[in-house]
Amino acid sequence: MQPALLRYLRVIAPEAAEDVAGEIWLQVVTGLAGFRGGEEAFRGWLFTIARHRAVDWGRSRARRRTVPLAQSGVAERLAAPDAADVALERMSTQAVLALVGALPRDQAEIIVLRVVAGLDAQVVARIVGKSPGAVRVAAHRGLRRLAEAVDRAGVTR
Amino acid sequence: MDGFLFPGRCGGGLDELVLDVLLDGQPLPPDVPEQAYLVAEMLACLAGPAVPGELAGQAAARAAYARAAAWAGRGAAAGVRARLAAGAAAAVLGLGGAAAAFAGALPGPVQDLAHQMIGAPPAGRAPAGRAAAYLLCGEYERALAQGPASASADASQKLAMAAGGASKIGAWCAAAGRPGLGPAARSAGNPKPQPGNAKTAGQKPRGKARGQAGQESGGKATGQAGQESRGKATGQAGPAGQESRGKATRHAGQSGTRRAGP
Repeated sequence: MQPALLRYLRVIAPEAAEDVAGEIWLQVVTGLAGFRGGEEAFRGWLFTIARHRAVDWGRSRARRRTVPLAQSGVAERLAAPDAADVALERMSTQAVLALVGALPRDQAEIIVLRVVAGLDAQVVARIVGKSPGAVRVAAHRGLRRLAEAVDRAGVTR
Repeated sequence: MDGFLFPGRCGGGLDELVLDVLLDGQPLPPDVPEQAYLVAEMLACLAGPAVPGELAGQAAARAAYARAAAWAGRGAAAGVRARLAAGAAAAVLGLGGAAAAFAGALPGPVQDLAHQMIGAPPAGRAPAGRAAAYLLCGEYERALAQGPASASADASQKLAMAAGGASKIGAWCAAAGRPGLGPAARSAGNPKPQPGNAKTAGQKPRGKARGQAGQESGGKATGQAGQESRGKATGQAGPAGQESRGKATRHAGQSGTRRAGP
């Protein structure tokens, strides 16, 4: 589950994915004794915690930031990858993840929760605080954008 | 007009149903646009197996946990810090949770998590030793004596998993040093002969049990954790890798379908 969690965090808290993951596992371990339910429920719980932690981190980062973005090195890490690379069968997990990360945030996190965390639309809706219909629309928009991006790279098969 | 194609295509080539299929990881129906296969492959990559950078992230997770455990054990001499870390794990998890973890009695992925975090045995391995069994059986005894019924049902389920079946609980707990949990006691739900025993037996050894359990589990956990960290990459790659592989297969199925087609 750690890779799935990291990928989600790379999309919603890219600068601090590993650190936030550590906090999340800590919270999970603490809450484990009180947890009841099977694997599906556990995954839903895990990613609910993940989102809360990432939101908290985002807020505290906004308060703490003193280094200009340009100097922090973050800009390079967040730069969108080459869509042609992705399209031309040099696909790698990291390349696709970066492409997804370049989507609008709500689309990106919904796609990761659906596809990487394997959560169904109802559970994702609860986690992100939207209706299932809105989740579906956002996911579709995201996928269409991904398709457009590789299309513009001019790849034919 | 027949056969005329606009040069280039926008993403509108993918309709709602195809997109739903892609999101659910289902095989693509025939006659979908070429784009659908491309997106399917991208999603398969997205959900693919762990890459080395991600496994390294688990080290950070462990480090965060170790910091918390060290804090819980602060003030103690460095020599016993390792054992106290595991004891802190028990405190953090709640005695029942840690006992269940060491007895291998948690649901699969949760057991694997406990394996990674506190050195409990991974899912699928035989339950661990007497200290964990003693704690688990003790938890059950107390739940039977004090209620509510939901707590004892819960503990009974964990015990059944650890002992290898509900009918084996009596013998398993007896072997762990907690006799008196045979079928009669359990079905009665109100162990009249037991409360005296359970309470007094529970009280005296409880202090000892905590000490022993703390040490034993500490020893075990440290030992296991130590072993696990030595073999870290392989051990941890297991569950995560398997989990992601399952997902990749799910999506890879789509690509497979495509290649088999015309």
